Amino acid sequence: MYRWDANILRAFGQGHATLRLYLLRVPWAEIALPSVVVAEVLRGRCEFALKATPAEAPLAHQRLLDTQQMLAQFRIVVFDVACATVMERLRQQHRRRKRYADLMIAAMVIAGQHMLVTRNRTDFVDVLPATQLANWIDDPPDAS
Amino acid sequence: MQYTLILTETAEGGIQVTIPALPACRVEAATRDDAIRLAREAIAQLVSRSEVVQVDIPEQPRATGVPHETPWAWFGTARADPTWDALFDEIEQRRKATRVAR
Repeated sequence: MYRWDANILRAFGQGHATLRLYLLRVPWAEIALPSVVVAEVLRGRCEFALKATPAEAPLAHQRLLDTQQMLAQFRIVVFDVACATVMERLRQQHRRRKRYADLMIAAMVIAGQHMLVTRNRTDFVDVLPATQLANWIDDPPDAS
Repeated sequence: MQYTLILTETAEGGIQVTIPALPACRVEAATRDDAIRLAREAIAQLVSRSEVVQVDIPEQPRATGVPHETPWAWFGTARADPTWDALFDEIEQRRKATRVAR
């Protein structure tokens, strides 16, 4: 099962060519967004909508709706108690060195024994084994 | 066995009886007493030629609405939207600002 970091969702919206090659090979049912990423995206869209000037507001609110509808196309995995247990351990091990959302996403990937798809492999390389990291933007899929 | 009867006055002034436990069983009469008597007879008649069988129906998985196939209609839809890139730049900036310090 593949869990997408925010930068892969960004590439999905952009229609990235390499990501498209992966999507032609990987069943959609095996792909999901961590609830952390969903929260980050919705927070950004909500703040845009709520802080927009009157002139910007129609666009900002339309984008909020568009994004919510796009997110509804994805399976979403929830940060549950098992993730919280892993997260506590990661926080002890990486105190002051890791970004909070990265640790939350890593905890979800470890707890679920999934594969994290991200463009920022360096942010996770010390918390996740290489076998649980993939970059569907810069590493084209095998030709086979 | 007891059955609940709902007695409703009709526009013509009569009484209509419905029985929630037996929705197919309905009677109508001119008076309340007749309505109850007819309902009692109708229930007895129906029950005498009926058999009660209980069956287990396994729970159906709840549909999530998430598509089974890749939703290509959404792929690349933010290509012309400058706020899309700004949204993810902001997410990256916020992550940088939240190094674990607790």
